Amino acid sequence: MSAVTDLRAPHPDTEAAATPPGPALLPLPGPLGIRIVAARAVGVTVLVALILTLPFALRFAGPAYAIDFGLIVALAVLSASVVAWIGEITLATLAQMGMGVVLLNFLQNRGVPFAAVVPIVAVLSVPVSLLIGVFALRLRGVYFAIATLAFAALAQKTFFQSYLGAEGGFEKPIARPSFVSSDYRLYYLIMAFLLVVAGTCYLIRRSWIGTRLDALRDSEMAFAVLGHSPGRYKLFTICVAGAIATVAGTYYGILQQVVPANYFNPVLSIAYFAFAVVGGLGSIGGAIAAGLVFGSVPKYFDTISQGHFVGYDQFFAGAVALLTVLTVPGGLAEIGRRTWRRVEGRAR
Amino acid sequence: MEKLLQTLIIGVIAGAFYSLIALGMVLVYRTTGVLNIAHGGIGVLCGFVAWDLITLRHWPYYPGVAAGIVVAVILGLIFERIVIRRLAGRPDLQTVSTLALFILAQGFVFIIPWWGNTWGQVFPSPLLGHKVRIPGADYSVTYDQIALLVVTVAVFLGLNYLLRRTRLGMAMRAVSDDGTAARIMGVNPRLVSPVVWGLAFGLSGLTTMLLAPILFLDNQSLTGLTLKALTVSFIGGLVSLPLTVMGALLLGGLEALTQVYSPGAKGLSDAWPFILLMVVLAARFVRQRSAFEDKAVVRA
Repeated sequence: MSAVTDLRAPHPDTEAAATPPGPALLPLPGPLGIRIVAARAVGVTVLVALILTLPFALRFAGPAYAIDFGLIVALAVLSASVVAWIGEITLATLAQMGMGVVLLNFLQNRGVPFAAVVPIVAVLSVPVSLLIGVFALRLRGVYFAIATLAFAALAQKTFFQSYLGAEGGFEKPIARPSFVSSDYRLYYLIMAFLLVVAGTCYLIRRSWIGTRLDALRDSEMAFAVLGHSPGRYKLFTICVAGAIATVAGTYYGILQQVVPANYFNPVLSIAYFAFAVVGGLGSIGGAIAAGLVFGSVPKYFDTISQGHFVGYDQFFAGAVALLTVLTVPGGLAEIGRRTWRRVEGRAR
Repeated sequence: MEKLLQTLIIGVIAGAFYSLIALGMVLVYRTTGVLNIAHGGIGVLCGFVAWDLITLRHWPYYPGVAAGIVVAVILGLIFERIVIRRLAGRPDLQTVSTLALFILAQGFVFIIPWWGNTWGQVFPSPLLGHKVRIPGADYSVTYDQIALLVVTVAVFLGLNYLLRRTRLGMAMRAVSDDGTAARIMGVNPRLVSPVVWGLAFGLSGLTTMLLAPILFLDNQSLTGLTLKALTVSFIGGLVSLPLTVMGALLLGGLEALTQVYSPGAKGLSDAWPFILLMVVLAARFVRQRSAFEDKAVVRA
């Protein structure tokens, strides 16, 4: 049992410690400080403007459905990326999304208002996550990946096939809440949720939990010797990732309303993991960027090319993932960090 | 009795499907420490190449199949040269790269318009239509299925012999166990690695050529088998060839039993890989615990 996969996603803190001390993170007085302040101000303004106007700005390329779908993919990719915090690969993301669709339908049929659906779904995702998490207590690396894949295959072949059917056959189709009747409105709802999730993930990474997760990823043995429980932290991370994926499934259900079981094919989970690799495993911003690119761009491209290039997305996703692994293992996150350092004039 | 024999035959054939796929993955993991997720994807791609040559370009069967396998071997060598060698010493990234290759291969099959990959293609075979009736089972086995069984046994024995008895096989295992020590002992990993990847990709091509006439040639069914084979290889710890074959036969047998004796149990047949996984996991857990308790007793 020689090599066990050991995904070590770079952490900004450890990276910073490894590099020689450069200019401080806080803006310095003088021309460099002014440049950093200006760059950050412009960056934040552009980001806010983009978030507010994205579906309208891209209206020429296609309907808002594409960007809504991209946001949902971003959530799913973020979920896969969160599991990389503990150095593991999950291929059950799509299965957990499917649970979200099924739970949404179940709760809607019982008259639960949408405002309560999302928190309930997040809580109900915990038992499924714990089931997957049990594997993480005993398995690492590729063995854990295989276990999650087997779980995904089981869920798709048994549960989703019988519950959703080949054509998404709910007895009572999913209803879209009136306040998100259009795809444009739905965009703001999903974007708000994504920002909350990204913020929460960022806070977790920056807190003592994040530091301990880094320690766990680097050496489980040393982590246990220090008196911490690896199992507890693993289960926590898998539950966070599971909640994100399951709620992403809920939003997917609202967007599509009719979801066939085939969508939750485990192979697509492999593709989502590849997106997380392109984004930079463990990175929050990278995962969101990769999800948006791989989720939205093919849809817009289909509209622009009038359906002439349908199906090219998988080919390009594979090619980009392979190139990323070869050239920039840190993915989009690493490219982003490098570029931003240049913009701020801190590049060496 | 007749029904039981029938079940046994179906189970053995299904087990041979899984064995052949899983053996290729075990070969790579045992000799490189990399989980080759691209195994099924490359097989499907090369299957389509062979199908294209035989059906659309009217090549004779055997040269067409040989060309498909050669394409697989060449892809293996290219992948080793461009990707695996560049990521040397990082089995984590190498595994992720096979995952990316899987998506790329699947996508490539999808974008060739005349391959019509959204539905299953009938793969030609000179053995098509020939059957052997099994006495006492009211069941016929096709020549293609017999060929699959024979090749599976041959591959199993061949790989066992290669890894245990030949200098090349020992060099492969040495490089996997301790690359530095292997280099000191005169083994050149740069010569061993292409052999492993060429052989593994060639094996995936061969697997598809044998499976496609029995099933259909399409992305979904063959990928589904690969996912099950992954679970089977887990039973053998991704390193043991005999345990992998036993696991494959067990899975095939359980699936056949469910299909024949309880056809109403919808989904149970597909649940077996997961159930087996849980059982193996529990067995390992118990074994590890008892080993730990033994040590504790000795220390006391």
